[in-house]
Amino acid sequence: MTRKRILSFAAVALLAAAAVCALLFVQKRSRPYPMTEKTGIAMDTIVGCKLYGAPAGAEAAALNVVSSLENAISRFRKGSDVWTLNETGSVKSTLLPALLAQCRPLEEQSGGAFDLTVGPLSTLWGFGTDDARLPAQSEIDRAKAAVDYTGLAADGSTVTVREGQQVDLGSVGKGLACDMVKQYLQSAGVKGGVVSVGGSICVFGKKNDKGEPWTVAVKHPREENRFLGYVKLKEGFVSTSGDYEQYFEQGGKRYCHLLDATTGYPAESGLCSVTVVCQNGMLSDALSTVCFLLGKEKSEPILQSCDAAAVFVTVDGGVSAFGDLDFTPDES
Amino acid sequence: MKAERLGLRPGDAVIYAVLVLLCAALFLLPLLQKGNESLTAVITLNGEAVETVDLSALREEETRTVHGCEIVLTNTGVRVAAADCPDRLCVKTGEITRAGEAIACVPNRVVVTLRRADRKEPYDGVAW
Repeated sequence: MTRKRILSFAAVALLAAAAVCALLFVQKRSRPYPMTEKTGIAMDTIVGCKLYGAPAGAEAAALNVVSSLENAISRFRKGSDVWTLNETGSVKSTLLPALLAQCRPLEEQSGGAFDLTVGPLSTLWGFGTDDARLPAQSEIDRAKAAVDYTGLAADGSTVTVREGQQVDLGSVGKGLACDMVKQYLQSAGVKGGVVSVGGSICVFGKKNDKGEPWTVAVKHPREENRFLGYVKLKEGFVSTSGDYEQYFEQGGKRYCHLLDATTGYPAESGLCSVTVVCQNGMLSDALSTVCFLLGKEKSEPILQSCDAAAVFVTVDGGVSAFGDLDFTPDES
Repeated sequence: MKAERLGLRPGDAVIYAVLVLLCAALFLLPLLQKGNESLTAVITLNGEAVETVDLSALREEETRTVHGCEIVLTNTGVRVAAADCPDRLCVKTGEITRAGEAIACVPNRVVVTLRRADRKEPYDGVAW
């Protein structure tokens, strides 16, 4: 074999070896971390975790975090902080004071449309139960009289409400659960994951070495066969409020569970869905309700002050986005 | 002749061609592999999977009864046709047809989730 021939063979062999190495490198780089997942029920809804690079049992423990939170904030669970507060007018809580402080600016900025003391109205309308109904005006007036967020106060770890007031954390609980699960999973060393608590989503970390952004599909408020679109984000929380999950129709009119505390009636802001994206789960959950109650125009300054973005869908089908958001409509 | 300058013989071209084709195949193979997009329904009770059904394998509608929920599985999706729970929200949810969607019967602790068989869902979660 001549020297030239040997060199040509060597050149081609090197080329082939380089190609194989490049391929192996690319495949290794894009290989996801081992995935584990679990789905269960807590807070009266579906809770799911899809985790990457998680220690054994992390997904089950994450679901327990949601159940523990439910034990603290459910107004229906005897002995919970909120149940005790509603029953006795006072409770010592490690959780509630910070939560109330975070919500107070939203209550103020919304002019009281968003109000954590909306409990009497929630009970009256009965959404989520077999007894959902359109109450008489006199009943709404009576329930509304007890709704006033200024009556809800925290002094250190002690939280109090005025007599007759009832706190309902339904508009923030799922987002708060996402916050707490994320905190737990990160402390447990999980590399990345998706947490869903009743449709409120948290994405964090990475699913592979590449650190590609996560994609969250958003349910279409009116069409069953396609999504509204897809939100891409590296990390954060996505919450949707809409008139399509809990509602009833009477006299040709749709009554949904998102109650405006200033009127005592379901919001009529011209929206049928709002999806909020931000870096705090409780806030994304609360903001989606606030935006639904107020409508797009009044919501924008509030979203801006919270460094949040949103996608609005009007009842006539118009879709518009606000803020720094990577949203792609579903064109299928 | 160029081949002669490189010291090549007539049979060498075949060896080189095979090597180049092998390299090309290694690169293209992952791109040509098509995932299994068919749907799988996972039925859980109290958070534990009780059955996984490949919907593409169903020739006709099938029914499973799990803890008071009558679950109807078809080639295209899943629905809860009847349930002994008080609110029947699971029944009212209707049919789900896309990976990532789920139906829950909260009182009966039953959840039905749809997944792609190859787990290559084009999205990581569904906000609703």
